[in-house]
Amino acid sequence: MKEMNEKAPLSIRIIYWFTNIIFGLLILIFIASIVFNILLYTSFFGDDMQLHTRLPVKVDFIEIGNLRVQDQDIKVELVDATTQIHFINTPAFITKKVGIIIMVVILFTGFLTWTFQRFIKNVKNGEIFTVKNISLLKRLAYGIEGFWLFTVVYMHISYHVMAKYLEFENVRITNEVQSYSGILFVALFIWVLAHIFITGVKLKQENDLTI
Amino acid sequence: MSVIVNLDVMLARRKMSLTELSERVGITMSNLSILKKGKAKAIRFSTLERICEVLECQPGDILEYQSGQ
Repeated sequence: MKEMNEKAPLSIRIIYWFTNIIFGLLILIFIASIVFNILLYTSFFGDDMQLHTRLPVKVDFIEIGNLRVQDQDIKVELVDATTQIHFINTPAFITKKVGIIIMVVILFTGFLTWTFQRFIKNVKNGEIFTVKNISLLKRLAYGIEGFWLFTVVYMHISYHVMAKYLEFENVRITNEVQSYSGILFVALFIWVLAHIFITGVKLKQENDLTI
Repeated sequence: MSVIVNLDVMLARRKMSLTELSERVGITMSNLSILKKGKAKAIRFSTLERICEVLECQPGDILEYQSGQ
């Protein structure tokens, strides 16, 4: 039964329009990434790209620093730092691979945003506890889990192919590949939410069939 | 369901249409139809009270329990 002809709360409408904007931007970015990849594969940029990407592992700085607190000097070290790597004049074979990965990531993010947009649109229209929303939430949860898996695999490959061969004088590259478990927890939370919605749908059906 | 709704029987006895009952009881035709077809999961005491009042009958005249169904 549709009981809502009234306007959705402002917060829901803001989230809906914000998601729409993000989705629109992602479409534009995806188109741009296709153009970027075409240019990469036609050697338009050559080896002049300045690639800037996240390092998959943490680093320790082999350097003793000083911390002055209450007139005392304390010796400290910077450890477990997360950082980015900047390739100066990146060779084309690296840029091409990264270009494809960027495109896949944008596609994935676009799909997740589109799924969330459809869910929030239903909520905005007052269709909250419906079977359609449950499948959208489950799809979102599995999509985020897939994204997490992709990220972890990418990070491990990135470590074994590139990061473990890095050499710096004052920086030690660890072998602790980042797990991004936060993404997995978000997916699990949404999955739990989908199961709460199943109960919600049952309660709603019961309420609708109470005369 | 083992509880049978005999609303159509009572309507026939009182020579009353579903539309008239719906208007007099104050519930929608679709809800009354759900009740008549036995698809309802529950009935509120207030609804039952109004139906009984309009049809001049007892709850037992509308609801009937049949075992083994």
